[in-house]
Amino acid sequence: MSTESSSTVARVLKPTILILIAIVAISSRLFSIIRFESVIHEFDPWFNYRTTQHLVKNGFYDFWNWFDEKSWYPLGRVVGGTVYPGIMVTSALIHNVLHFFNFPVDIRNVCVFLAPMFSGLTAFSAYLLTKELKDSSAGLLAAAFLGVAPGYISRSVAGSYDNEGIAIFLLVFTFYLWIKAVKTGSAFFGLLTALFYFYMVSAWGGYVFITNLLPLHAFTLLLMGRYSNRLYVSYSTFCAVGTLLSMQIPFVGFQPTRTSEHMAALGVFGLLQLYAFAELVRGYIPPKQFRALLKGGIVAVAVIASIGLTILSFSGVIAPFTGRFYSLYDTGYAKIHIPIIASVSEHQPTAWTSFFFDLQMLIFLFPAGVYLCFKELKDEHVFIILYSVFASYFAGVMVRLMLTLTPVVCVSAAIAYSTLLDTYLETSEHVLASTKPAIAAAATSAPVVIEATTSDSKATGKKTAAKAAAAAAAAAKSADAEAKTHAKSAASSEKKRFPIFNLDSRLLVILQLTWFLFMFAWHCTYVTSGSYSSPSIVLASRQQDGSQMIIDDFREAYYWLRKNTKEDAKVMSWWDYGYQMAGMANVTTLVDNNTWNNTHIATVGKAMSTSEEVSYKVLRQHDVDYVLILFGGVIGYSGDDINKFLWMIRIAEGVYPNDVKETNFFTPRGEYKVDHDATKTMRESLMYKMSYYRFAELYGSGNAVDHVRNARMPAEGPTLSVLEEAYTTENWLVRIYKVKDLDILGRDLKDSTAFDKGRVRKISSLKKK
Amino acid sequence: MRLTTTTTTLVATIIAALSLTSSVHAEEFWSEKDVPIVPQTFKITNLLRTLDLSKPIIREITSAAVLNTHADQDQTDYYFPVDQAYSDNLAFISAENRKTKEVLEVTKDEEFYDPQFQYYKIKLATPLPPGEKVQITVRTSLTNVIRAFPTHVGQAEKQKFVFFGNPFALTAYPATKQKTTVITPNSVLEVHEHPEEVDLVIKNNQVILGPYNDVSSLEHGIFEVQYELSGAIPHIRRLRREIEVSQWGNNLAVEEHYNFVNRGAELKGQFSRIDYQRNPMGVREGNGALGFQTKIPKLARDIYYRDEIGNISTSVIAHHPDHIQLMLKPRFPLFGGWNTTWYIGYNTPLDGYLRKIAGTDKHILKVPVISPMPDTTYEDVEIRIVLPEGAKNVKAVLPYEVDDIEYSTTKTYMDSAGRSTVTILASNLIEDHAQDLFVEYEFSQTSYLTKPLAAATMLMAIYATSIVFSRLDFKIGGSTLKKQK
Repeated sequence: MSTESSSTVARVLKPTILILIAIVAISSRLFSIIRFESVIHEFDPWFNYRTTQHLVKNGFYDFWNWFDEKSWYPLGRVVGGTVYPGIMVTSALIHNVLHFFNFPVDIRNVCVFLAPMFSGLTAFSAYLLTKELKDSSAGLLAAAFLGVAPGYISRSVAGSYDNEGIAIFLLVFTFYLWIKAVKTGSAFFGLLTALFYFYMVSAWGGYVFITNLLPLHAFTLLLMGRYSNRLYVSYSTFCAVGTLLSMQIPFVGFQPTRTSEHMAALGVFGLLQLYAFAELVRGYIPPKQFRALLKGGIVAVAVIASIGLTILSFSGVIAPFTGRFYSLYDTGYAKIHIPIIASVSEHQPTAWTSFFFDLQMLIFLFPAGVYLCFKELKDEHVFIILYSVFASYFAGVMVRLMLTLTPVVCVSAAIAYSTLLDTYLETSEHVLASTKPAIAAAATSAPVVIEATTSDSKATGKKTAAKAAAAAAAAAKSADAEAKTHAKSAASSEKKRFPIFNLDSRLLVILQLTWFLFMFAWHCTYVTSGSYSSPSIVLASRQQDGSQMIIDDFREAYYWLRKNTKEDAKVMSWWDYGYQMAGMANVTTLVDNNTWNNTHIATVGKAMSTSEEVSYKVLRQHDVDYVLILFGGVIGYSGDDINKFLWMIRIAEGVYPNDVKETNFFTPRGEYKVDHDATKTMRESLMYKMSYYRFAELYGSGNAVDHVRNARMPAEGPTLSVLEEAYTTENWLVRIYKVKDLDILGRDLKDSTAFDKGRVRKISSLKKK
Repeated sequence: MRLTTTTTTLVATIIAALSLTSSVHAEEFWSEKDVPIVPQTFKITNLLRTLDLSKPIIREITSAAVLNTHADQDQTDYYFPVDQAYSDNLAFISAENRKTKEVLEVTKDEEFYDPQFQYYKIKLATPLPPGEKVQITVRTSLTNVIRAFPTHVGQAEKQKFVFFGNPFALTAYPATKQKTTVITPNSVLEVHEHPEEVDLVIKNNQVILGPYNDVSSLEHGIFEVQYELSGAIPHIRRLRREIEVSQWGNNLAVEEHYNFVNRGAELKGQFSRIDYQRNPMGVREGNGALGFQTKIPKLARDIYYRDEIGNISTSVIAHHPDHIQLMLKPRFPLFGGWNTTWYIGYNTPLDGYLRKIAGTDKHILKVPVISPMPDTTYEDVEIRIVLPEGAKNVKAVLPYEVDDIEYSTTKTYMDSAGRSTVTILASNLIEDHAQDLFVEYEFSQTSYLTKPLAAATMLMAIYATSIVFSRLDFKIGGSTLKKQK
């Protein structure tokens, strides 16, 4: 492929292909816009969107110091200090630049289209990265793969305004700069690596991956005996500048010097300094003494380092690994110790099918690419090998980390694919053209060398002449050997045609590869359109006549809350909906997707899972005005709160073991039931009552069926006395209850409700009091 | 302190309550007579007044046969008094000659100021000779004068309103004979009238007060009607209309932002979905609304209906021969006291709205002030008309008086100088105000070239910088790098 770099056609073709790839990458992420609308998706993006709006409206300093009293009521949240501001600052910057040039683009549209736009840049950085590893044709393939790979699309469709949207670009680009830095040994690229590392730190918690992978690469190179000044310069620049810069993000703060996750970077930095010092010393001291010195030095450093680390860890200066980190090593850890992490679906271990689902043919080209990296094994290939090993492991542990695996899969698959193409696509003329000059060169090189030696020996002394002669001989030898092999292959191909010269077999392979490409494109489009393009705040279903029906209950409820409750209304819901409520309903929430305070979430869990009397106290204590729940029983939406209820119970039990017991929610046969067999605790829990309040009336006598759990519900539904139904959406998907005020006559709310309904209090209850 | 005879409805309520218990007091209250300050040149021989309460906006039609009583002078100015307390409620007033159907000019009178009455001067088309008669019909529309009673009703429960009014037609001249007919939506009604000597006939959904003979000028009393009115009382707190003219694209882009509240009786307790699903029509029979209808131009395209959090998926477009009927259904049913906001927008060809005066650079834009929704009141209206870049000498002409007209410039997509913008502020508008407004401006042919030139300059600048940049060498120690290789 060396010919293409000089050709002008290739010079025009490459940018054109890259631009086309970017266009494809962007447009394949627009399914949701075309099908639905330009809207922010899911949960976390709503928080990012809300903070971006705040940033655009109130400026950067106000954003930095923003104390958000509308979330985590009554605690509040210091947003500036607990957020990765990269994505918000990026879109605010784009917004402000556009407005400076009088383009009145709405901030919502900037946010919605940010991830697709950055995916175009990601494809470009994949091209750059792969170009460093192989050549530009592999680079183009990698760009194309990464542009459409579902594993990456899953987090970067239009509207998915989340940190990952820009973080993957930063990840790939930082890696490219790192490889460039290691290759050239340039402090400039080391600095750029650090700068983009800083951007990455500001954008996503996944920066820890870079923090650990780059030192690992440096360390491995060291172990392989590949220490070089290039490595020293690039790593030292990156580590020093990068660490300092990363500490400028308030949320990160002093973590780079104080937590175990970041220690590797500093450790390798120290090691490199020691190694460099040793190298320096080696130059001045005789080898024997040096060896002794080295032995002593290694032992001393090891002892001091281990003692120091132990002391620091135990004294608490260096924080131990966080729970989220432990769960990466032991998948069972979270389930036992931190149910809140385990309850998130994206923290679950990956099912093996999803590897194929997200990467299709790339997943089997991937090992081939890694193997080819082993064959070359330059510094940069070592990096790709390490990256692929670790990313594969993490992707296996957590579904979410499939995202970090995707770039390396695309890169190594592109290497493999492009090698295949190189082998099978090379037309015979090309091969002949490249072999012929080689033979010719081999033939001519020998006389030239001899000529050189003769001329050299005349001019300079004997010694140099001899040296030069030896070198020339060696050169000639190697040239000869090369020529021989070429000649051999040429000869053998003439004798018995080498398989790849056979048009049929070549065609067979090429066609098959092309077919794979087609299938890949088809699969990517299918997966993107089918699985990853639903905004999740709008549901779509097909009616019997085939027309699309939009189920817009979430926004119906949120907009009702936004417009028809008082401005400081406090709404309690399970934490999943916290961000959406703050963003769409503009109400004060008790807990949200930030999940920083487990106790507070457990309190909400307790209010949901205990009886009315107990939870009423909790509701009053937290000034709750409304309670919002999701109920899918009418239309069969399985992600509703009754299905999440077990997690609420588990989390609540962790903090309030006396009030909530998981076993009480299971029938004696160990089943989780909501129908006639439901346990008393279940039937009395607030969540159950809120979900099924007046549900049976919808169907008439005794025919009520919960479509999610396929349960026939009792004809007599639950009654509520401390809450009243405030709003239920069209498909009953969201139900909002208003917390009743204390009874004006000082009665128990249960009694007063019974009185209002004209029921006489039971004598027994009177007697009790 | 002299007790004013005509006061706000609030005071009237108290008085009504008082006078219920004792009519003697009422007698004392009403004993003082107001004297009109306008010249007494007319006498009303017969007057028929209709008070239409069947819609949320009260419409009063006063038809008077007017006789010129002046000895020798022809008369052209007929004065129509409106209680000052109602001046904020009076949304629209118009007059016509009943016989010829000729529209008469109505102006707010500044000459005769009375703290209690605002006079409107109606100019007769032809001067009325002494001893001659003319029939004048005055139509007024009053907004926000009815109150829900009781203030809270349950879901699908009928709501009732109460209206306090003057049993006499308020006139600046004595009337020989006058009669008032009150029309209510249905026959469920109650009348409490004060003073009690007022004659009263209730016939189905009509209340007939009078006829009264020899009523003096500015005669007033009070009566109260309680009646049933179903459905929402639609009220737009704020309407922002943005109209953007593009002569290049031959396009008129319209966007309307609504802030809505239902002023019906408030919902008692909370909303129950199951009750609603059992009886969806109960909402409209009670105090709620399920949707609104509005007309937009026939050729409108790219119609959208959104709110602060995105597209509202429930709307229906119906094409009619001369317009498009837009059925806007909010996300949730709107009960009394419930709020919502939304915005709609569309593009339509400019041809039907813009006329160029031949031989000059002068253009005249004709657009409706509002695209009305039936029975809706608009409290605060802002209309922004953005003209193409390069428009000069802008002047807006409206068919009626508005609060303010401002001229400014707006900068948007690739503007260099900014676009001339007219901002019209108005308040208390109703359907009757949906008339055309005119914006006159000069726009020369050369202005067409501003945009492409600006775009070309920008592209040129980008290319020039990229040419310069690509030629610069930013390498630090590039030569040493090469050596290492």
